[in-house]
Amino acid sequence: MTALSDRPSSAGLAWLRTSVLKRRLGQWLLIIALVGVTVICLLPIVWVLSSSFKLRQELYQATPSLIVRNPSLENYRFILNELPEIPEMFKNAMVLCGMVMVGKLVLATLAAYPLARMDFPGRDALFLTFVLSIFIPRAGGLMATYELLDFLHLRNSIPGLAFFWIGHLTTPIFIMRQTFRALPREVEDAARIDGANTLQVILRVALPMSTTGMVVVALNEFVFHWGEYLTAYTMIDDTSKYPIGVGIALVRGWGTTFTSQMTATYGAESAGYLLCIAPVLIIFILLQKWFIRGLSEGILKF
Amino acid sequence: MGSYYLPSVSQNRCWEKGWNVEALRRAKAERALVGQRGRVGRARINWVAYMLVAPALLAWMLFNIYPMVRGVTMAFQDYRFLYPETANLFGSFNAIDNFVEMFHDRMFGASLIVSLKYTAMYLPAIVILPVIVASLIAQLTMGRLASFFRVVVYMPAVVPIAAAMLVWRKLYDPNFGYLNVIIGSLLGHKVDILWLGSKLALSSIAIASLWKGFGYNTLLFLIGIYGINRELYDAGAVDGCTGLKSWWYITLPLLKPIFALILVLNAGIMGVTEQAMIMTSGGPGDATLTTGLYLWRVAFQFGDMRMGYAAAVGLSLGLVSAILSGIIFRVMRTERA
Repeated sequence: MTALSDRPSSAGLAWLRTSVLKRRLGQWLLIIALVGVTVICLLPIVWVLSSSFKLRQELYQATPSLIVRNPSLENYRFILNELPEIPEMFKNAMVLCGMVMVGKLVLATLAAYPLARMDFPGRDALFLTFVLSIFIPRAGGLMATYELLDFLHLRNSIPGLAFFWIGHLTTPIFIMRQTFRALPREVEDAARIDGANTLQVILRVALPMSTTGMVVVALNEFVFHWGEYLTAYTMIDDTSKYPIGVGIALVRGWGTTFTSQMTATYGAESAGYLLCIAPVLIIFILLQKWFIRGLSEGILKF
Repeated sequence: MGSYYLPSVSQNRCWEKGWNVEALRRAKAERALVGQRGRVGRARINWVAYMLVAPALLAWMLFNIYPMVRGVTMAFQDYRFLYPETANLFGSFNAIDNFVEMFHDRMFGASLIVSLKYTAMYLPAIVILPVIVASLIAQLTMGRLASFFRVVVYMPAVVPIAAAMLVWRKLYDPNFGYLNVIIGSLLGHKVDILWLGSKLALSSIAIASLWKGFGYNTLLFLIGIYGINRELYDAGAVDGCTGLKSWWYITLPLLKPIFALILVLNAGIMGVTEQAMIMTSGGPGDATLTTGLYLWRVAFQFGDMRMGYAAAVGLSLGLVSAILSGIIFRVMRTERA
């Protein structure tokens, strides 16, 4: 400020210079601290990545390093060829995630539109119960779910598990409702005047403008159900029906019984972990802005 | 933009006759759909709306609400899944026997202490660490760099929990794990820390969970910080409130709703199950047998699958976290007023 006054004194300029310098220094300190955080965040992933390309002699060195000297795909070959369950589990996870994503999108969209745009007795109460239910702890829920799914003959099957999860609609309904409310009302009104019924308005007018909300819902569901452990582990008995997020824990057991000379338990396990992590990680890195959007439009608006 | 979307059929003719197109359109639309703009009198029963909500409502009631309610009634039953005569909806009620038994159950008591220890380690860290990291990221002036750190910090959150815990178990491995190597090279001599030994196992699980959990909370805080009005800081600066002071007196108080949200979302921490299950399966000994893991074993692993007793344990845990949430809400509300 002093520099802008009628007579720029040298003292003022010096002050300005040091303050700029200070700010720069501050930024660099910030960056150094955050690089530390980055290292902690990435180290486990990078370490698994490097271990998965290592062979026995490098893995069991006295001082292992992150850099691989003789990279090899042997671990991946082993895990994909000798453990046929792994591709199977990948398929299971895909089926589970796909069913849940589609089911939730359909149900949540249909329900969110009236909640956003129509008026009927009990609308607000209904929406409030939807939202509040997420904050009630599921105390004996796992046991009750076991009983329920067993009764419905949905237990120990991937589609059954998917049906169970499709019922957990709070976040999708919330996000879709927000999305619908943000649309310009006039377009829907115009469609109505042209004779469209409610379902047509939703499918032809509102949905094409709501892709953002749908992408946010789909991505969050995918990531959650790819990694969900406890419920899937409890409800499914046959290891061949495990989704990868559960089955990955079995790699250790298999790893100790392998026969290949070139691989080590360690490397094969790492390769397995990486295969399990890779899909979600790649999707996240490619579409990261949608995840942040999901946070700011979902849970924070509750 | 409204008039661009007018139905083209009637527009011209209305214009000729000198009608107010806008008003006409609105009236028609209003008749077709009484909307959120405000209710005129009582809302009409709108069957279409009910039909659209019905499938979601049914699925939600069946798979979300029913198990919640059923879990509570199960807690008052001597429900053993493998004994058909006890495993039914209406029989085998035993009043509060399950809760009485909990008081005599040594393993339950021990697991409760483990869970409390875990909560005491994890809960403060999962709140304090993210708010600091978020504040650091928010201070960056280079937008690109900030978005890079946002991505990196959130990355562990998308990693499947099983994979995350297994990777950390490898890192903790005393012989070939990388953690001891790093610490050894930092200290300059070889170290042999037994990360998963009986002393450290619980904190090791907490560290691994922290690694996975803190990115999510960091982003929540970051969104909160980005939402704070910059003018508040300018106003503060005039009064000599800058740097750390402005963080303490402006940023933190304004993040209170997010603190509350994070605490409530983590209120179930007493029931922590998967982490201990995957990484140590409760061991060594019972050093990491949390209450969540104990109740899971009672219900699904031990002998006759005593789901009734497990549900009672779960209900008690649930009550604790519900009370915690209630207190948090109460405290946050009174302080905001």
